[in-house]
Amino acid sequence: MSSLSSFVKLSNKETILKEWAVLHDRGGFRASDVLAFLVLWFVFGLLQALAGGIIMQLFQIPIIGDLLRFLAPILRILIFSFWIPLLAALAVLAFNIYSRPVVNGQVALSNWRLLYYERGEGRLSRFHHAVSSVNLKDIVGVHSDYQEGFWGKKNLAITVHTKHKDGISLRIGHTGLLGKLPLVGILFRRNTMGPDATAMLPEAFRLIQEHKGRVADTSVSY
Amino acid sequence: MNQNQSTIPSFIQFREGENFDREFYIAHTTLKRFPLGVIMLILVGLAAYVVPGVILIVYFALRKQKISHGYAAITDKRVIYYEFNSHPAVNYQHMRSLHVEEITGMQFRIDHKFWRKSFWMRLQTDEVAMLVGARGYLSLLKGRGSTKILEPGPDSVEFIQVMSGEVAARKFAKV
Repeated sequence: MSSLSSFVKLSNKETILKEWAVLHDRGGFRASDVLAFLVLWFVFGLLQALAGGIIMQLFQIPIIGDLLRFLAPILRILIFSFWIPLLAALAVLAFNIYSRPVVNGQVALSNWRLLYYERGEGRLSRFHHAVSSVNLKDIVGVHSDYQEGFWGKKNLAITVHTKHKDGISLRIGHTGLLGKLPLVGILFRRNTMGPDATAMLPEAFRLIQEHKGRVADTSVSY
Repeated sequence: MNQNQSTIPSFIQFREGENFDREFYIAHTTLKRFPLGVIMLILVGLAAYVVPGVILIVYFALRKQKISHGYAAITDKRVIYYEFNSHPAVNYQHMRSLHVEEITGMQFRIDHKFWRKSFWMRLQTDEVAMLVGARGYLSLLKGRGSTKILEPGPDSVEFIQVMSGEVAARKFAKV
């Protein structure tokens, strides 16, 4: 069973002819998480200052202020401790990295359609699913652009054009906005290219051409 | 509206010969009583002076939430999407449908990210597209989605599992 048909419930008249694993995003830690950590630390620092201001105001309210004086030692740590925003930012980031899913993407060719399917199931209920499909008989062209740049930067863009306003567009390899930064961009690059990414295109061009317009046999009934 | 009964047939009347099988509860707006925007508003209210913040907390804790619900179904002729909000201040009912025969392409995306959940669907025909949800806040600015970010409902994953194959089957595998 192909990995696509393990997720998408295809009709028994639709068969997967070929499948290519074009995307593999390994999840886990990324260099951009360091930036995210710094931003979070700053935001939690601001929130700590804001909370400090609110608590100081509460102290001036007669009954509430008297009650808060019992909690003064804890509140002092909460408002003034250097470690509170730092640990909060670390905890949020650790949770994010731990639960981030590994995402795999497949292009599949069936007797009717070309499908692209992304699936990622992480821990703690995090997930990502994306399915796109176009009819083979509508495909008018497939454009691909593969670039291999300085320091091993690889990019592959595939666009499947149809005669309508839809289509399938993929960008794999060293994608991402931070990776485009000059000099430091190399630190943020991560390769999302799957094992069949470059092998797919020559074969897909031929198979799409061969099966284009081969709709179901007229004797088939649903 | 009673959530236990089928929602779409309670709103539209199917003609004889159109077979309705089941509906999927695919999307809704946020169910959180205190989403991030509200929390920020309350914090600003508390920081400005405690009383406005407390009033905001009480208001958001007690108010009836404005949740929109989105249901979808596929019949042997059409794909139907029905969205409604029964809150008195919002109170709308949207119904969109596309003929299965006319569908040329489909895109579905469900994300449960760290910060945000989202459901996005686009069914394309030669002339028009059915857009449900938005892929992110930037897509709202670009006008590439509907007017609100929707979260995936309980049947959303099952819906995209079934939908993609069903539309193709009903389009191609016919006598």
